[in-house]
Amino acid sequence: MRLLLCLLPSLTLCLLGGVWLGGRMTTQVTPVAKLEALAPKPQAPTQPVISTQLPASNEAFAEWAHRQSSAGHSDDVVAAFNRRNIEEQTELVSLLLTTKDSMNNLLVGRLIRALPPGDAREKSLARLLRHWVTEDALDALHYLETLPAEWLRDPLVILSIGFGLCHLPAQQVIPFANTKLDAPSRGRLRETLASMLNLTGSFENTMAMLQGIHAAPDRSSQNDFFLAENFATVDPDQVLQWIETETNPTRRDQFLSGYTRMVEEDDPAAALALDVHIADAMTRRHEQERHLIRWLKSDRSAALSWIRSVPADIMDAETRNRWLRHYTP
Amino acid sequence: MKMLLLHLLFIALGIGIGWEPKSNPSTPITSPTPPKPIATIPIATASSTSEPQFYTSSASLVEQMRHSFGNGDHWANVIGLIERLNSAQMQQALEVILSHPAPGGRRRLIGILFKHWAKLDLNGSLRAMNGIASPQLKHTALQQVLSAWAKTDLEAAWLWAVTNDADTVMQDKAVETLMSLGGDLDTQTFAALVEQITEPFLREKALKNLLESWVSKDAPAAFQHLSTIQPPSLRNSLLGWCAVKTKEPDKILPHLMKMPPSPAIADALASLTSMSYFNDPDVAWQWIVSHSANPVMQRSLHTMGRLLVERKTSADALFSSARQLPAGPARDAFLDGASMDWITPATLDDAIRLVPLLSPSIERSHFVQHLGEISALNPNPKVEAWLRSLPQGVIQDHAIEGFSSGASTTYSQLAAEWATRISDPHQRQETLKTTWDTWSSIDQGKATVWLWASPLLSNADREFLKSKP
Repeated sequence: MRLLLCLLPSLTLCLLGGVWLGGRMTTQVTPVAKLEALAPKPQAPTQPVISTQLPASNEAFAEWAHRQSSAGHSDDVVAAFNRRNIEEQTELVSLLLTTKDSMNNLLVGRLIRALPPGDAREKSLARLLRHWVTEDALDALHYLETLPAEWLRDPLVILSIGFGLCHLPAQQVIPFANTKLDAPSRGRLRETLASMLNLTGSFENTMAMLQGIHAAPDRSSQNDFFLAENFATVDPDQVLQWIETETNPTRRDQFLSGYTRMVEEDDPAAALALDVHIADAMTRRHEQERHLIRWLKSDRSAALSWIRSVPADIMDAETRNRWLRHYTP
Repeated sequence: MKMLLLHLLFIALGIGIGWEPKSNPSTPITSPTPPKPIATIPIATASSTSEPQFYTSSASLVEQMRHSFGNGDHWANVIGLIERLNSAQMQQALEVILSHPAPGGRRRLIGILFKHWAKLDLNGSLRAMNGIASPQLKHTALQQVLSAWAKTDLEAAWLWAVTNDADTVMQDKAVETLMSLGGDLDTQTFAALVEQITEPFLREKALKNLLESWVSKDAPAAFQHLSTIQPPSLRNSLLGWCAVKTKEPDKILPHLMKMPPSPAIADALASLTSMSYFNDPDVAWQWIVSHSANPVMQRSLHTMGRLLVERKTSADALFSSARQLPAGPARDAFLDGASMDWITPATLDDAIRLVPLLSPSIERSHFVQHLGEISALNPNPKVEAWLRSLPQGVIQDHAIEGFSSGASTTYSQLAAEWATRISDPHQRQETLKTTWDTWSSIDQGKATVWLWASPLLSNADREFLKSKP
């Protein structure tokens, strides 16, 4: 006991020193470890959820669903949703899709998956995805990857996702497109990406996607048209070079059509003269009609003068007379 | 030796005591204890004296933010929390926001967080922004960080943006963001910066953002700068963009009227006219009437017709407005613009009375074609009498084409029979083909019998239809 009393000061000092050292060690925890410790954890359910009394109206159900999903009880919402009839389910999904900022997309996505096949499901899915890819393309891509491939054949869905997917790195989008999408859908996605080259994403990234996504030859694809139209605005010489060197007549027609859209804005007569070089008769007629109608509706007298004096190699007499017929009393 | 071991034991015990309580900062976050009801802590209205007690605890912050998410997103509470955070709490708040279940909510809160963060700690916010995986969330953060940075050191922010090419999508966003600030800062400096960009699509986006902010600050100067941009195709495209974005159309309209007419100028004028109309419809109308003889105003008059009927204009008002315009291109364009939304089964009779106001033109052809299409919704003897009453030739042909197109699904045979009366052979065959194809897709048997047996079809038309798969 005496010995212990003698040692008490030094042992106390050791203990205090140890406490101090322990505190120092705590502050030396690496930032990464600290971040991991701070990272959000899934919320544990805090109370039993499904009561026997579920909200009767869809409005009340939507509100309840929102609260439950925020508290981590999405499974219960899905279970309750499955007990409603199809009309109620469709209306409820539609209602949830209007809540935008508060919408738990993952939950709505699950509810949509529970809907029976048909128009309502397709439209709801397209609507959800349109919003989702715009807000968080990465999150939306993860959801897309879970969908059955046949759900991604709807053109509306592809149109809806293209605008957002171009924000993601090409190396994330290409594997998804090449494995989950069939050839027509891949073609549609490429078309959508090409059409928004000047709007969003980056040129380098979108072009990498266009090059990486496999597409079967498709005469009806407007991909090259959109590329040419967008390039013609910022770099017309580049498109002229494509037109001159392209040997595939369909691609060349599309480059030419895209290019003349730009030319028309400054010089409709020049655009009409270029239309003659479009190989496909239907495309040629379509482009010529478009340019002429727009010109007649923006400067009638100049357009009429052109029609009356146009050489036969640019417009034959029968076509010319058909146009002039509109102006005959 | 025993003494030494005893001392070492006490040191170890001390380390254990000192280390253990602090080594797990996440403990309060993962605590299964239910969060306190938010109503008991008046966050949004908390006085400054009560803040330190609550906000010095990061754990409490996390609890409160999470709790807000779980209670109908009390936005005011969450925003109130974010705005009172210190820089040491930002990373933790970011993690919490990233766990918000709604992407829309995440994005909104990220914007608020980074706006505050960038003011407190620019470098920290920049680092954190780079760590966000989701592109749009990252871009929202980026906008806030760069907005703050540009105000203190534009050169550094620009340099960071143009050299940061590992993520080109983010780089584009960075350049766009900086350019969108041009209207608030020295626009000429920004205009010079754009010229450093060589990638053509990025340059276009940068110019769009610069001009959008510029036109809202000084529209004439922005349009002046626009006239110097090369190539002309880009200039034309940006002209339309600026016209849509300007809030001072009246200052720009005279300037554009002096430029050589082109479809691009006509489009820009139409956009400016509609902006002017939204500012003051009467002033815009008087202005357009006074310039209606100028050919370049055709598209603007078309737009004006469309805007006028959006205000539920009565037939009398439409008549009166049309008569204020000179007969010919101006009036035709105006009525062409009005026709699409105004002509309904309810206004059909009034619309028919408008036809004589139109001169022979593609606009008149389209107008009667649309009339024919609407009249096909309820084909009756009166409608058929109207079709017969029209002068033979281009006007009747277009009315019938519209009627046949409108009736082809519901009244297929009637539609096909009327199509046989179109006088222009090319237009007749094209209309017959469209109508018959629709009929055939609905009732192939009847359509085929009609094709082979109808006395209304000429042999040439019959052969034409048979030859087209």
